[in-house]
Amino acid sequence: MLELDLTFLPADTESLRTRVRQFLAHNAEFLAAPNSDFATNHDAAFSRRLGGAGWIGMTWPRDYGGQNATYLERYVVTEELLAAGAPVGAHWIADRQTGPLLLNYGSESQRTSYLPAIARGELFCSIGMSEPDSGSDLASIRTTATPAAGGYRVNGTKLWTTYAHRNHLMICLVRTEPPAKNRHAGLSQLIVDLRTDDVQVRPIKNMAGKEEFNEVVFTDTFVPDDRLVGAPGNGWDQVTSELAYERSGPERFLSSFQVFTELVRACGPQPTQSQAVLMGRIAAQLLSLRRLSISVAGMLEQGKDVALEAALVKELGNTLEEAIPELARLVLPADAGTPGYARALTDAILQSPSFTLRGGTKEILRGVIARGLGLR
Amino acid sequence: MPQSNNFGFGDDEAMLRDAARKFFQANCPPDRLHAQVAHDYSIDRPIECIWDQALWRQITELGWTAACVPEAAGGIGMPVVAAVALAEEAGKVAFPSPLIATLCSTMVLRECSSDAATTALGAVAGGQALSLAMTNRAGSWDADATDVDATGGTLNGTAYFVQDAGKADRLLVKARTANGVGLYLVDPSIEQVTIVPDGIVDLTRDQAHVQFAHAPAIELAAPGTGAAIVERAMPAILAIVSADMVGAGEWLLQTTAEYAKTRTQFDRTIGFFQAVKHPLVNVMIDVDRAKSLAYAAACAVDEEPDNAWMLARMAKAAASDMAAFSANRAVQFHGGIGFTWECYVHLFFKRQMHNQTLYGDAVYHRAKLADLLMGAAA
Repeated sequence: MLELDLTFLPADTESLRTRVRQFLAHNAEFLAAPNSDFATNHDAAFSRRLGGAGWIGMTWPRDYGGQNATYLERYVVTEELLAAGAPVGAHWIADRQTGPLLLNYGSESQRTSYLPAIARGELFCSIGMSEPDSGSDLASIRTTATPAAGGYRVNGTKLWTTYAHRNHLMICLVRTEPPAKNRHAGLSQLIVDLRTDDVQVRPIKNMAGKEEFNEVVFTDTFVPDDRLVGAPGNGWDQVTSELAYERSGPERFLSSFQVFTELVRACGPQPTQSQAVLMGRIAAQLLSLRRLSISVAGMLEQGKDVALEAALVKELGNTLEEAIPELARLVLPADAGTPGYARALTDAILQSPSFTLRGGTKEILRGVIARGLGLR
Repeated sequence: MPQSNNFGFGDDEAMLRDAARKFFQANCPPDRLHAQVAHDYSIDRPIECIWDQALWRQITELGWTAACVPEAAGGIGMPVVAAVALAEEAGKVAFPSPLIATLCSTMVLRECSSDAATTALGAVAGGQALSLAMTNRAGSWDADATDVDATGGTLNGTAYFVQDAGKADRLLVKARTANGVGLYLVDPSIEQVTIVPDGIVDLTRDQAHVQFAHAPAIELAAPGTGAAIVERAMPAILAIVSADMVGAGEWLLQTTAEYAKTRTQFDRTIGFFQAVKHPLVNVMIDVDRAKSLAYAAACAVDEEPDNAWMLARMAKAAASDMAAFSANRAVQFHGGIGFTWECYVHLFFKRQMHNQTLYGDAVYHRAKLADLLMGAAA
């Protein structure tokens, strides 16, 4: 059942928050993005600076380049970065998901060869889950990895792989055994080197006209044994363990946050009644989502299973972040506000339809939540 | 008030609609539209006005732009429902053309009672494309709002949010004089007129602000009469724009339903799942509601003018909400592919987004509707 711990950010995280804000002020030249979307701003130089400050992989052990920090401390850093519109796209997946996966399931040599580089902000990772015929139904993937001398031969196509054309690694979910009665069996995860392995990466233009996600095609692509993550056939459990990290963070409700802040700025001290009502409504929802998300971060810290709670954060959060640009433009058209407002709004309006699709559609999340209620 | 028997939509209108449907379906399939307006897009592409002028000539030769021009001015003299039927079919293919702008301009010209307006209507019947230049910098749709001044037969100032400005042969300009608002006809190709294209999200249309610097103009409506003329024409304009949205909504609905019938996940077509099929039924209901109101508004203009404003505001409010909902659900149920450039959905998504605010969004019209039904104190 759904259980949410009452969690508060410890008082000492405030000094960390101050340090992050100072860091952002010192690196203001990187803050040109019009929105707070974690998946639309890729900046390797910024990620290196952030890594230098110790804020990538900060929850990991020091042996692997981490800071032994808590998930609540990481929460403070990520929400400050997103709120400021920092370009976090390069390192985001590696920090959020690839690192914890390798810590949980990776071999010692995988951890030592990848984690410190990720934490320095020098090694960027992508997710290789969806395929042309497998989106919501992830277990139906068809990409195969068949044993070959010293490794695997991989065949198939991955789709919607964000920044595969700019990142270094992809954690690729493959079928290592043919489909069986248990459709979750026989899946494994391989680390694919997008730069040196024989893969074809084709950027796919999105509806906003930008190239951020990709199609990645494998044709007898050789991947050595030592890049198998965890145990062969254990891929489904490993992938679902990632989802708690993937779905619960502040990036699931802050993607259009700058539209909100710019709206407040543009309306000034005397908003119209409808503008004031909307600001109050958005602020109230943001505050409750923040409480939810902090609660999940606290539960992650304690090692609890939060798959269900994470689905709830994402479902509610996506609904809000998708609605903000649409609601905002009704109370203040893009060209009636400030240039900053116009920039944030026009950018978010064409980006927001993806919020309720990526990382699990709202329909799938509702199914997960319903199952948590015992309804399936 | 006696109800007319055929609501103004008769055999002639049905024939026109069927002919338009056939023509558009044959000549404007979405793959051709995509190749035309979207194939070489990049973020840095300069703003272009892309349309098929040969196709537009065919349409004018078929007499569709003459349909609602009165017979006395050389047209066919059909009612406003005919224009609404044309707009609906054009919306179904997101047709890049000055058709909607010309139909809307025709509605304004019909309300002018000058020789100059009759001549202008004759030119429309003969194939001239028109657009309305009637909105000020603040984007006000009020009948007397304008940032253009008329003195001694010339215009100065800027008109904003001019639709399909790059495709129009003449502009119908609302301008302020010492004696109130008048209406003027201007040739946009002359050097005293500058068309500055706006960057808009809709790839199937162009929009501009148009600058006038001592631009010679023909007076269509005398100073002081312009605002009332625009006021009378506006219900028909709202019905036409709503019909365009209805057409686009219908395309989004049918295309998404088709996808839901073919896309398979969890060993079933996704249309099997209630999370997908129920919202699609909601889209259908919304399209149908907006369609009924758009036709009701047009029929009211033709048959019961007293109800025209009320129904037109209802139509535009319903159509604007439907436009957002139909487009949003279409992207969602197409999944990742629905968020790509190569999928045709975004062309209609963006046209719906543009249409929502054109001539006032749903909030604006509901507020006005409340005034209309309950008095301005409401």
